[in-house]
Amino acid sequence: MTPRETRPPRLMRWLLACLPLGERRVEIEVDLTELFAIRARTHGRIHASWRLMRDILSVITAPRRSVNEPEETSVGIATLPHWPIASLMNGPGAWLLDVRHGLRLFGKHPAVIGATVGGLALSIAVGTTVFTILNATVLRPYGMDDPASVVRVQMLIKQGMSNEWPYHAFADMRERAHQSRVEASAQERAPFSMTAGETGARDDSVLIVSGGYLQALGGRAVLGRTLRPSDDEAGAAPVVVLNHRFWAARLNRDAGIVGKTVWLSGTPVTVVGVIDQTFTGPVDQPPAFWAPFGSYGAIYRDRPINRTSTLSVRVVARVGEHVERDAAERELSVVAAALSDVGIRTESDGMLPVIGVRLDGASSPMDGPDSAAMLLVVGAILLIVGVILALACANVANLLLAGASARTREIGIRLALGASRGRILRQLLGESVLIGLVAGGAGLLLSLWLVPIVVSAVGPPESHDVRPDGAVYLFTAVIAILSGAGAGLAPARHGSRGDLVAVLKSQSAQASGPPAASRLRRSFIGFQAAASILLLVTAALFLRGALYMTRLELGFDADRLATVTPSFPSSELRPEMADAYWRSALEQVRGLPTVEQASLARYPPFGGTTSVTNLDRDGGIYRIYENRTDAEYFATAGFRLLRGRGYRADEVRANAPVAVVSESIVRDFLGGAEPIGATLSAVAEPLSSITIVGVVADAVTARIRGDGNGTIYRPLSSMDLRDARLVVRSAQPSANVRDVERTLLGIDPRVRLVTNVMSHDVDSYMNEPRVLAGMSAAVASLALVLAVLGLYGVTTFVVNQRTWELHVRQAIGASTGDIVRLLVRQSLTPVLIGLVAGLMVALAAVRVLTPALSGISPYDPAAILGAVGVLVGTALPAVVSPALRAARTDAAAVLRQC
Amino acid sequence: MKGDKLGEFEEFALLAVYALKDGTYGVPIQQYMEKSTGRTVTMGAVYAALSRLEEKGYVRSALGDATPVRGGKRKRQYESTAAGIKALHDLKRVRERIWQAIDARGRA
Repeated sequence: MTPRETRPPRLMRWLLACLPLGERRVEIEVDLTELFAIRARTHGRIHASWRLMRDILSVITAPRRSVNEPEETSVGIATLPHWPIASLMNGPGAWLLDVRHGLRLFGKHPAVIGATVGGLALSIAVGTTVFTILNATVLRPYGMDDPASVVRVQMLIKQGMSNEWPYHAFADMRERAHQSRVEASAQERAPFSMTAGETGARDDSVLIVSGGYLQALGGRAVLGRTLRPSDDEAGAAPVVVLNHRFWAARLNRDAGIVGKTVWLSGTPVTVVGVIDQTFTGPVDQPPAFWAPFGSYGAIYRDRPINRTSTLSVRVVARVGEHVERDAAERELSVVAAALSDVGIRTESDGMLPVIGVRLDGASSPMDGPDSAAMLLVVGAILLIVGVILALACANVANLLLAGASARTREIGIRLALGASRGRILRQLLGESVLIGLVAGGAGLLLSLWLVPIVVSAVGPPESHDVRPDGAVYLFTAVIAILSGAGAGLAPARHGSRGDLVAVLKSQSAQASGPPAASRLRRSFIGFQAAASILLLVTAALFLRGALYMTRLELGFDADRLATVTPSFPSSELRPEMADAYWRSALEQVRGLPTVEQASLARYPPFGGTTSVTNLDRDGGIYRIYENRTDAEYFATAGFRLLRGRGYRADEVRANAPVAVVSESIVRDFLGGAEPIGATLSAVAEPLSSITIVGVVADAVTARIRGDGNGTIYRPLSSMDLRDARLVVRSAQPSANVRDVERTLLGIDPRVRLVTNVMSHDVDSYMNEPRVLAGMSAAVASLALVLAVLGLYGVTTFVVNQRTWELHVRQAIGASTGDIVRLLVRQSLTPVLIGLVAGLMVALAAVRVLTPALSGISPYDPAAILGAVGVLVGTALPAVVSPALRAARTDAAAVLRQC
Repeated sequence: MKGDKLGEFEEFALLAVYALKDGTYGVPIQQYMEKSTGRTVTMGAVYAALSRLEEKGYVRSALGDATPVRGGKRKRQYESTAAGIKALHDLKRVRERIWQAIDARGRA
């Protein structure tokens, strides 16, 4: 066993370091660490951790005197078993006494405290899990040196902007910028292999970067060297540096990798370094490796990159020290505006030239133009976490309130013996903070287990580092202490207010809780009901949405389709090349025995890109998808032709002004008039020359959510060929697409191919509502359980307190039914008030969910009534069962005892 | 409080210190007690027992020198005092007397 394995887990070491052990800390730490090592060797780490936990607890709780200095009474775990002693009342040790008192409380009511603390722990676990994921995906700054001075350089045009620059524009900006250091990158993919001839099983992501990119952002090498500007020089050997994660996972941390030759896309390149694992660069998902622009030509068997290359790059800059971002922006704007041939080409307005740049912050995923929207989303998620935590806190508060009322006498005696009110307050608060801390510890451990589950449900697990870091520990500690203190505040104030004389005089002072306490309890219950109904409505809506998805008719044969997206070498720009390529590709692919049909389309269904025109219509936005296809596309994809015909092959060749539209276009724009032969002028003025020749059934081809969608299909022009994708229809797309791939590689191996099986793409779209539904259902169930737990606890407590009164009622003639009705009415009133209030908030708030809901209205009556039904249905038994129990006990026996 | 009398757990702890010879420390004592009694013994209980024994004058402790074995950190070393050894023998004698009486009655 290695020395590493005989060390206590990090969490325990951290816990040990936090303990108030006084001056004997070192001895105790050393002893416990050594014991852990012995036990880990003999019984394994799990046993050792468990025993260590017990030892830590025993060291805190066991009464023990200081050893050498008898006068040292207020330090550390020094203990005075005689109580009360004034010197302990106010020293730093007093707090520890409170804690010990609190720990003993755990022993007295294990079930009640267990359920309550368990609920809080679960809520803290959910909160920590959510925060861990948010932290890993959006909150944590990108791994770079001084992230605050890194910016993205955006191209401004007349009516918008773009983040893609032609390579030569970047080269100009780099040369002429003095206020900032300008670098660029281009996202590519390449199969990686360790031997020649073998092509990798899957494409790995590679970021092609300018030679100074890694140096500028702070990507240092842990092995070998990082990339440098000389790697971009003409004639430089092809090199690559590896991402630490890729090196660890795929190359097994091969220490001798530097200097070795590996194959990217079948080209030999030399590995010159492994980059430090903390470096990500200003991207959400760091690539598997970084290669310099100087190696691009070699890797993709293309011409070397130079000013004439058409490669699009993304430009980042590091603003120099002591330079304002505005100054750097002005400087780059002047350079960019001078680039007369750079801009965005649009179909309607022709070339829109660049007019300047905008520098957007790139320090973290939260930084940049969308930061306000991101903040809103993160805030909303954390708000839900807060609501759940508040629910659990209300339970703890109720428990403590019950405890404080029951302990009126104990507290009265302590007050009488000279304890100050502050001391009592501190004791009660100490207990609740302790509950918070215990729950926080348990929640943190639970979240370590929950995070991987949630991450694998939401997305690929390898994309982000979701191990908890300092921020996560801090977050958990803060919410644990806050929820502990928050739960304890009201009960502690209430408890320490005890009326000394009344308490000591009368035994029965504790029999009925003071009205203030029961008011507090009722408002907690009302709040819990309100929060639960809010979350239940949300979950019900998502569930209905997910159900709708399972019944959704796509309107085409997604399970028989696969698509192939080619990317032509950037030096082969001419349309004739694409035309020739597709001519032979279609001929050969259609000749394959496994292929039923094949055709071309610019935007195949669920391909990730669409061309959308948003029309303002009836006060809302009406989306029209546009697609360019060849004549066989409708038959290949299986669209149902309702009227007229599809366009013919000769119309496609001639780029004829004809169109096929989906039925919703006919319904929404032509008002039921005969569509065949009509023009599209009703849709948009620029389309007035185009004649409708056919109508196909509506189909869900891109977004599953949202409504008001129609599609216009037009013939694929020769300009579209470079961006066209091949759609292949076959019996088993996932198997047959490999044949297609081989055939296409045979035509031109320089054309890189990305294949997609359509049913997988559809699944990944479907997955999102499913995950949303699952998560929200989990959160809502937790909220419901917490609320019911609280309701049950409070009803039980109230019933116990009123036993005497209830039996007097029975003795003078009340029936069991009367008693149950009385209790249920009184207990359910706050629930109903909360329910109505929560529903009102929910109805006002669900509108924001509209974009996330698939196919159903946010006011879906089934979902809302279902949520109400679930809440009432679970609240009722929680109230009725303790009420029934009270009503059924033998009244005479109880009254005799009193 | 038991005054100067030894509780059962304290007796085991004292026996362990005595058996392990001078200069022993927390971990061996805990291990020895666990092995010889067959019970689970927590470190907190060991510390508590040792500090009570020290107060009663049955063991004394001192911070030892740093050793390379334990990462250079100092440990508190315990040894039994003469009073402690005497108390152990007294207890043993008391027990033996009682057992002798029981055995004698059994034979009678």
